[in-house]
Amino acid sequence: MAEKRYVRAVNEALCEEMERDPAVCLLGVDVGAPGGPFGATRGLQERFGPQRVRDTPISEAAVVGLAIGAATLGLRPVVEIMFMDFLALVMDQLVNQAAKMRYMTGGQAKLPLVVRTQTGYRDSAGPQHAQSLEAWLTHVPGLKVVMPSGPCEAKGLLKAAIRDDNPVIVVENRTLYALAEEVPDDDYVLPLERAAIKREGRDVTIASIGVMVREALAAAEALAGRGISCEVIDLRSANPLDLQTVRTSLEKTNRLVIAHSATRCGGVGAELAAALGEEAFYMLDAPIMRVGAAFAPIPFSPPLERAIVPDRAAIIAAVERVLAP
Amino acid sequence: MTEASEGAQSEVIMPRLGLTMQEGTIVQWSKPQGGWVNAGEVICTIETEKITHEIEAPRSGYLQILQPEGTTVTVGAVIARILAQREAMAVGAARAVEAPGPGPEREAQKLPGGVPAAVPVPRQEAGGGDGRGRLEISPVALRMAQDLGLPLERIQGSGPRGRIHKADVLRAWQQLREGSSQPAAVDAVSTAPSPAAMAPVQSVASLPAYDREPLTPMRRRIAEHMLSSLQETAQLTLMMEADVTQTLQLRAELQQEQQRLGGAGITITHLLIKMVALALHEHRRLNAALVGDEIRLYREINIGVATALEDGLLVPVIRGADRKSLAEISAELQSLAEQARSGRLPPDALAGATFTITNLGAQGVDYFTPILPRGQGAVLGVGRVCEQVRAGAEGFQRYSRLGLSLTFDHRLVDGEPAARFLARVKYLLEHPWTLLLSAH
Repeated sequence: MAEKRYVRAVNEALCEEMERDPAVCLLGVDVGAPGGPFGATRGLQERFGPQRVRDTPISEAAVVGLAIGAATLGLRPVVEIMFMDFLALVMDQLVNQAAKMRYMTGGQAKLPLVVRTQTGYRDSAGPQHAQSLEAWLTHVPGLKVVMPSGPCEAKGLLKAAIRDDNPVIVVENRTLYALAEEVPDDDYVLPLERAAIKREGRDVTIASIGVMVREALAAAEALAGRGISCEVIDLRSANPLDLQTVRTSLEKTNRLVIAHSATRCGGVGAELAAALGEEAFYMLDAPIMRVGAAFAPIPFSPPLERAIVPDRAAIIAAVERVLAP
Repeated sequence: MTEASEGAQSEVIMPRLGLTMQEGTIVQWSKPQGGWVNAGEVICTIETEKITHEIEAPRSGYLQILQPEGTTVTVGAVIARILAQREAMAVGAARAVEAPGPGPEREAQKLPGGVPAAVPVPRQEAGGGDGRGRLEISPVALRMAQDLGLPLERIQGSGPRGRIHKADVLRAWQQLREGSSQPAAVDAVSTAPSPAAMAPVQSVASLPAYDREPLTPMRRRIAEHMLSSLQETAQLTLMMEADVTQTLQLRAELQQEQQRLGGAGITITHLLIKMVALALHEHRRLNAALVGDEIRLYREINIGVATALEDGLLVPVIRGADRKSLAEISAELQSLAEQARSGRLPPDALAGATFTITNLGAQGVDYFTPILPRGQGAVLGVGRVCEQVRAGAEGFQRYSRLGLSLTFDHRLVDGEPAARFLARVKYLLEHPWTLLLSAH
C-alpha cells in the first residue's frame, strides 16, 4: 500500500484493467501522447500502443457513438469526456442508445461502456466547466452513475465500472486530483452500488457523495468538538442509490442531512429524501435537510462562486437545524 | 361489482365477498392514478382473510385512487372513483384526503430552511375545545410512543409549540418505568435540547431488538379465531390409537383401481373423511355447536380439511361428505387444495364446515391438541402412521399405528360420548370394509 494521488489512482486502475483484459481500450481528446487533459492516461499509449489508446477529434457525440459500437461488438471502451458540462453533447448517445441497448435486444447485446468525466469548482472554471449534472443521468434507467470521493474510490469504482457489462458514468472530481491517500496496490475493486460509512456517529447521519464526502468529514470533525456525533456516509453511487445503508444509519440517528455539490433542485438528494420519506418516515425525528448548490449558474468570480457552492459550513448549519428543529 | 353512481362519476367500494368479511386489504392497483380505464377492466387486487379477488372498473373513465396499496379498509368503504373528466380529480382529491400541508417551496427562492415537519395528531381525550385540538410530534416519536404504549398526553414535548421528539418519549418512558408518580415532564421546556439530552436512554437500549412484520389479513384472522376459540369454549382433547393395517391395505387396492380409471389418488385423509362422516351420523352431538343458549345439531355433515399455506392455513370444506363416494371426495379435495394454494378459492368453499380434520402426521407428530374452529363442536387431529409391534396371544405381531386426537367442546358433549365417537372412528379404521355397508 502506498500513498497515491487521486489522478494517479485513476491511471493505475486503467493500467491494471488494460493489462488484465485486452478488450479494454481508451478513447478521448488528448488521451494518447499528451496523457489526458488532466494526466489520468499518462504513459498508457506508450505502454499499450495507439491501437488501444486512441486520440479522437473534439466531437464528443461521435466518440461516444464509436465507443457504443465498439462495446456492442465486444470491446470494453473507456471514454474520457473532458468536462461533465460537455455531456450535454453526448446525451442522445448515452440516453437513447447506450442506456437502451441491453433492453431493446432482450439482453443479447451487452454494453460494457465506461464514460469518465469530471466536475469540480473553486477554481473559477465558470458556468460551463463546473457543473455537477449527475441527476440528468440518474433519471435514465440503464445508466449507472458513480462519484468517487477519494483516491481509493477512484481506483476501486473505476475498476468495477470497467468490468460491469452496463454503461457506467464515472464522475471524478478534478479538485481532488491532487489529493493523496493510501491506496491498495493490488487488484482493488469496490462494489458499484454500495455506500460506505466513512465515520460512525449517533446524533445525525450525513449522506454525502463525491467531493462533499470530504466536506462532510470536515464538518463532522468540527461538530465532534462540540459534542455532536455525526455519522458520515459516502453514497459512492448516485444510481442506484444504496437506501439500505442510509436506513440502517437512520434507525440509530433519526436525523438526516444530505450533501451534494449539484444544485439542490431535482438533485440526487431530492430523490434520496423522497424515497426515505416513503420508506423511513417513522424513523425521522426531524425534517430531512439537503445541502447543495444554489439554483444558479456557477459564477467566474471567486467571491460569488464561494457564496453559491456548498461547503462544510453549510453542512454544519444543516446539522444544527435538524438537531433543534 | 359494487358501485354507486354520482352523476359523472362512479365510486368503487370494498365489496363484501363472504358473510364473515369485515374488511379487505388493497394489494395492488393495476392501473395508475389518473389513468384511463375501460369498463370491466381489472383495476385492483384486494385480499381478505381468505382469498384474493380482482376488482373491475364499473364504468369507463379516469381512475382516482383513494386508498393506497397496503391499506386495510372496512367493507363498503370507497377505495376509488371513476371520473368522467380528468379535471374532476383535483376537486375529488381535496375532498377525499385531508388537506395537504404547505405547498412545496420554490427552490430558487429559499436557502436551507423552510417549514419544520410535524405530524398533526388529534389530541386524545383532551378536555374539549382548547382552540387548537392538535399536538405536534415527530414521526419516530409517534411510532415509539405507540410501540411502548405511552399515551401521548403523558409526554411533554420539548420542541417549539411543545412538539414531542424522540428524546421526550424516552424520558417519559423512563420515568414511567421508574415508577414516578409525577407526570412525565421536562423541567427545561424552553431550552433547545442539547445533543447530550438526545442520547438514547440506557434502559431502552436494553430492549431486545426486533424486526417488524405487519400482520397479513389471514394471520390476523387466524390469531383472532384461535384466541376467541380458547377463551369462549371448554376444550378437552382425547387421544386414542388405531390399527390402520387394514385401512392401508384397502387404500393400496383403491389406489390401483383409481390409477386404472385415471382418477385422483386416495389417501388416508380421504378414507378418514368418509369414516368420520359416517361416525358423525350416529353421534350427532359431535356434529354440533353451542350457540347462545341452544345446541345446534347440524343436519348436514360438512367436513373441513385444514390445508397449510406458506403463511397460515385455509380450511376447504367437503359438503355432505357422508353422501359422497371416496372418488368424489378425493377429486374435490385435490381441486380445492390447488385453488387454496393459488389463492383463488371462492369464499363459499371455506364456509359452513360442521366438523374439521387436521393432519400433522407428515411432520412426524403422533398426538396434539387441535383448537376448535369457531362454530364447531369437535375437531379431529390426525398424527403419523408408524410401524409398531404388539404382544398378542399368538406372539408378537406387526401393525401400523395411527394417532388420533379429538378436541371437543365439553359444554355440549361430555367425555364418555365423545370417547364413544372416537372409538367408532377407530373401529371403522380397523374394519374398513364395513364402509361397504353404508347406505350412501
